[in-house]
Amino acid sequence: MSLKYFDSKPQNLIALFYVFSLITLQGFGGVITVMQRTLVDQRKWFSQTEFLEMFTLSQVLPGPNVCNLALMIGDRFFGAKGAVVAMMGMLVLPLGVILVLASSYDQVAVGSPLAGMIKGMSVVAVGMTLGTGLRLLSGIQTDVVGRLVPMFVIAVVLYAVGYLRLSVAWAVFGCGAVSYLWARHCLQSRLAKRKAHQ
Amino acid sequence: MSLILWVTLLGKFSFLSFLAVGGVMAVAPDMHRVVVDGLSLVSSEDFLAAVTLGKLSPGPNALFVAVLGYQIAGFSGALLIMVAMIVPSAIFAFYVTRWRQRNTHRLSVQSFAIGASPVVVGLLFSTAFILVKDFSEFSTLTCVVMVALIVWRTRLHLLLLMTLGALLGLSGLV
Repeated sequence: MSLKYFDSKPQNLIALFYVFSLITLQGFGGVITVMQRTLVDQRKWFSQTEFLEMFTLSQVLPGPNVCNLALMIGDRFFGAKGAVVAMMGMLVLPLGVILVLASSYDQVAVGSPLAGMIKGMSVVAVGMTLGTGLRLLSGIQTDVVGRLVPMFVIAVVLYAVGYLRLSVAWAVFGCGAVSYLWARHCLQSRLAKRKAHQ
Repeated sequence: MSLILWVTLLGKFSFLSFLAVGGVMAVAPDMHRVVVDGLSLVSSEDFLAAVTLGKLSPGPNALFVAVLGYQIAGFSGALLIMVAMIVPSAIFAFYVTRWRQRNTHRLSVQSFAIGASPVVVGLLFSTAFILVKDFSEFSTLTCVVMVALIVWRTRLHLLLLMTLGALLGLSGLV
């Protein structure tokens, strides 16, 4: 974690609302890609590791995970008020968009130009999800847990959830437990080493 | 719609919001059971249309729940069901986050943050993998891989990628 990340933050609640509205409106088929881009790469509110940490917690908590993530970020900068404003930013404008669409929605005919466009956009969205996963790999703290165990955990989750279609809860609690115990073990042996040095 | 029906519906959605680990889409089958099979408030086709709309409009996928509410009782239905779905889990998330912030020094909290992150990355890969199985053509798969590499390695604007995707789809190339 380098120090330069700490001096960039939203100016006020309006800025917070604005940034999250902008993120959410760009988020076709995956808000997380846009959020990582905007908050880590462009605005530098967080380091890759900090972001991955918050994203992890938001995924494990119940509820819409990008909203949970917005809530955490808002709370971190402006407390409870920030949490509410960030979440509102995520929801208000897209809610308007989707309700307008819902009130004018007729079945999109297969083979129509609109259906083609939607197909193309969903293909890009899948690629974006994959790309975000690859990008967040660098946020895993390999200096603590090494490479082997995280790679193994990722492979097992992919096999269980992606291939076998087991429930997400299974992956979170099963693989999470193994990964948690390994991280705990690594942290403990680190502490022990540090004490031995002193 | 009667008051009892509303209470039942909103209560069930609030309950489901606590089960939605890994996102609201994880409990979509349970919602189907509630609004289509149980209370028969919307048809199966309408439910599917709501999911599709949620996917193709911007913002969190969870917003498809608002479309369900809209189908049931117009704009007020949409608002009510969103509140029922989001507020309980948000309050829970808020307090868990606060608790974690106060306890970052604990070994268990640190181990959790480090240990759970590979799982979350694995879940992202799984989502992509599940969706990619719907595509069979070589050109489509190439496009997915290209986009992934671009997002991973460059900072090309994401809306530009989306526009390109829409154009490719329009021309029938993917």
